[in-house]
Amino acid sequence: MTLFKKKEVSVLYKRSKSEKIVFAVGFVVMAVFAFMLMYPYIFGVLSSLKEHGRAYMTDPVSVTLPFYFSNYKKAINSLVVNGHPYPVLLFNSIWYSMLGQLIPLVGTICSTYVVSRYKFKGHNFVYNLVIFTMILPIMSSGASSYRLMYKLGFIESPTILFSSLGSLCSLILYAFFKGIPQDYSEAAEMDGAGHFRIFLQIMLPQVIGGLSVIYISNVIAAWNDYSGPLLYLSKKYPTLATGMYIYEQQIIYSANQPVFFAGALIAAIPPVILFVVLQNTLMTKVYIGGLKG
Amino acid sequence: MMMSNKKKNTLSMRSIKMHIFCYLMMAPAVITFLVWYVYINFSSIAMAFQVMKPEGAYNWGNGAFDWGFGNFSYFFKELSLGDSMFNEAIRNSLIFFVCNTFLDLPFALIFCYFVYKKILGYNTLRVLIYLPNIVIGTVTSALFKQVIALNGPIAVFISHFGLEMPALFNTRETAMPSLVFYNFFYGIGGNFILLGGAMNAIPEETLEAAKIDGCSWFREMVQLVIPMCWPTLSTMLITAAAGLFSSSGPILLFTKGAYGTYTISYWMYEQLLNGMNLEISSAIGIVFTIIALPIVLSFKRFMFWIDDKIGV
Repeated sequence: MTLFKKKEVSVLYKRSKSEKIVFAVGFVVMAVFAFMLMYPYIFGVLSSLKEHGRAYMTDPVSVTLPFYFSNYKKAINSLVVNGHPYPVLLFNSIWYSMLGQLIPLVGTICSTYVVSRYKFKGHNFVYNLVIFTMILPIMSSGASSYRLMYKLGFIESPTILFSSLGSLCSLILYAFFKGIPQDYSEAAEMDGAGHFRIFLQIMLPQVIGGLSVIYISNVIAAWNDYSGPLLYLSKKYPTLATGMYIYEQQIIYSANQPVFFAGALIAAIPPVILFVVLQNTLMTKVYIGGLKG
Repeated sequence: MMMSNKKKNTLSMRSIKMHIFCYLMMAPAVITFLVWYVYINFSSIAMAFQVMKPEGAYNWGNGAFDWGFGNFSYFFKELSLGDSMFNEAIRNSLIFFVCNTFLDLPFALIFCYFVYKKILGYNTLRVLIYLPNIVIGTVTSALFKQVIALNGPIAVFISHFGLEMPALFNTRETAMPSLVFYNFFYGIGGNFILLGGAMNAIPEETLEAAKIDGCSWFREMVQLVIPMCWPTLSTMLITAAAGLFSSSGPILLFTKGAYGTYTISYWMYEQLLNGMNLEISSAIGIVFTIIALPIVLSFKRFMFWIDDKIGV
């Protein structure tokens, strides 16, 4: 009688000797690559705990004691951009990324739902139009977008949140909605539910997982966007990303570098936490199909 | 007859209600599309033919422009000078396009495959490789600049071998290669989400059957995994091709176009930041849209031909 049951390994993960060697080499290459990617952040964390001046300038590489955790508090107090302190930059990042992605997402969900589930007049045209605009290499729209934003008063204003009310169809959302069996909506219709009720109480709950993933991905991208807010919001409503850029340009030679690193790392924390918590879902559940059909 | 008329009316009412529901749901997206795509692009075309008067103040809509081809002739005159900034910008844009599409994507595919095959520490490796795409670009670039600084850790390390760290982003010879390297290095992880999702959608039974038949890892990757991920890959390649002339790197964060690092899209962005030459910017955009359109459409056709060959 065996005391320990041997773990069943799928045939997919049973490896021959040569495969073990190949995958070991792959692991080493990826591990070295990952270390090289992470080194600047490790360096930043170690540097953020150093005393400004002699300790940082003479020995930027090694770990020095004691750790100056006070640099983080100093970062929150002293990083000021265009008269806006750190907490204001953080607040601007929060509303710009979270509300700024929620409003267009709601519009996109509504339009993608009807394009994927209903055969109304023009639904094929809309889908083909979306594919066509995706592959059209238009380059000239930046200047006229800026001019229109200026005329509508969106520049240096929170009303920029309403500049987009959603796109006609998102391919990822399209795949999610298309994957829901028609039986659900037919059964609900037979029970007397209207279209809005079917959408809100039956369809949306089924894709809420996927929608959350898309929303979080978009929030992370908006949080990290520095070029857009630099153009449209940098004077009155700078975000953390724009603020870090402007601050870095201002302090090139006179910086308290450890405090700057501390501020930079604080700015990086929220999306990193979100990602680490959701990384499995983000990396495995988002799927985009082909454009052909 | 009355019953069939009643039935027809009921069906027609249902259809009307369905259409009202659909059009109401589409309304916000349609408004956005009409304003931010249709109007903007027509406005761009109009702006391209607005030549600012030499004596006019820069005041939109107040008679400061003549209509003509002046913006286009300025651009083509600049192009005809062999060493102009625009020639350099076009070359750099194409370099970034090749790097983003034909270097980053294959490496990301191979790395994703290893993660998919669950090599040792695959979860941690996946998080670490994708992490730079989560961190603010300004933070990553600031830290990177400190690492390669003249008194940074790399300089200290190579000084032990008697070598000196060059100022990588401050010379014409090294600035562009350094930007391309940075873009390639930190761009690999950016494709992980879509490629990872595509690989996870592959039915395991298919790969198990191939494994039982003695399929090696290389054959599995080339003849099974890549073809089954092909719809996602072709979508990524087609949308990347649409960025043929708008490809760029983190120029704003490192060189701001100095030392021969301008790209077309960075130049356009710089004009927006400075509020200058917006009409010339529109004209240049239209020229490149016209040049890129047949290339992208042909590429799309080629991708669809491969789709047919693979059978997806």
